[in-house]
Amino acid sequence: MNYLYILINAFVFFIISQIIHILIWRNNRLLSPWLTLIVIFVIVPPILVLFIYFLENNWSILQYLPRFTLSEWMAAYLLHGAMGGGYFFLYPTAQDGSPAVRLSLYLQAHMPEGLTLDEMKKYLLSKDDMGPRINDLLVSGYIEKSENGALRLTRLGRIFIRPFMMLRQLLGLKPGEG
Amino acid sequence: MDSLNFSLLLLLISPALILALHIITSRTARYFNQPVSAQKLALVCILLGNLPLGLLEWFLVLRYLDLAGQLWGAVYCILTYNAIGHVYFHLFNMTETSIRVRLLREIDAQGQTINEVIDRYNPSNSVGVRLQRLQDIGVVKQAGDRYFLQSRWLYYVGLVCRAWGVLLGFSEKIMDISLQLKKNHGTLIIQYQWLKEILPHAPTLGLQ
Repeated sequence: MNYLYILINAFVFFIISQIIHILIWRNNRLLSPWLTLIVIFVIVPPILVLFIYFLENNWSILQYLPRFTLSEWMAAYLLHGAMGGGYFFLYPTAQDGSPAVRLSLYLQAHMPEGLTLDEMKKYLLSKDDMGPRINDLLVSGYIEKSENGALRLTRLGRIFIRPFMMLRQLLGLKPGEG
Repeated sequence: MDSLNFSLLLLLISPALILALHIITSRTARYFNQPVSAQKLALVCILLGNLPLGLLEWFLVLRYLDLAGQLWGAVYCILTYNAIGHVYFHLFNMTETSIRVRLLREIDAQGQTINEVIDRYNPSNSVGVRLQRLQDIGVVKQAGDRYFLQSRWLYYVGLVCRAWGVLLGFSEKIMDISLQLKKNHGTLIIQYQWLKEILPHAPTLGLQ
């Protein structure tokens, strides 16, 4: 086992996934960016490994490269997966900025005078922003409209929300305030 | 089981270790009525987890390797564990800050129409809660009725994310243009803000 090669393999997986991600994002309008992102980060490494195995067996020059066991590939895949998982949470911030990040950028632009609460309210979320969010949840299948017009959670919505509620209960915390 | 598999197993169960530490510290803080930032506590638990995991990895796997193996093995374990911890932190953060998670919880608790949900949502509270959280983690400070940036780390995260967004081909937001402007150009900022709000609806308004 060679941890240095495991680290190199993990970073190669991650960098190649990112290059594919950038190339696709810059050249296409995606209907389902999240699904595409998951496919890239989950599928690319195994394809790469199969490709290397194929080349090692069919292309004599590659036989001099180090060969890895399944455990070593799995170790590289675990580090790649952990980095990819972290990236999934940062991606929305790159897309449109989280409110906290937007707030810090806006505050920095107004230093050293600072901002009042009213000035920040004007800048941050307004009631109008809730419409698209609710629509997004409807389109994604997390909620649906019942016959009387009230919104209710779908099965997918319930499956999605339950772990979050359980985590807060385990920690003894009251529900988050958004 | 060979030592690498054992090391992987330890890393795979590390989220359970973080969760256990988080439950113990969070409940202890509540029991003693200690006001602690929930996000800061999660971060501390993740960092604390390095110690037991590092000790286990050392005694069960790394100490049997040569010096180079120990060094790169330690780098691998530290990187992987903290990357897993990073995912845990964001998952916990979603329970704390995500508006969509809050919406789903509220809809689950009491079926409401779209207009009722929108009416219930109070943007004043939302901004106040966010500011309080940013004060708790030392990013923002308040003096009188004005708020100031106290620590710039989140600002730098924002800059990196914005640059990454540009690399991915997301157009630079009008929001960003307003950041170049100072307070004395308030009218221009409001105009850009208005444009930012109106642009997503351009097709329905017949604007291109």
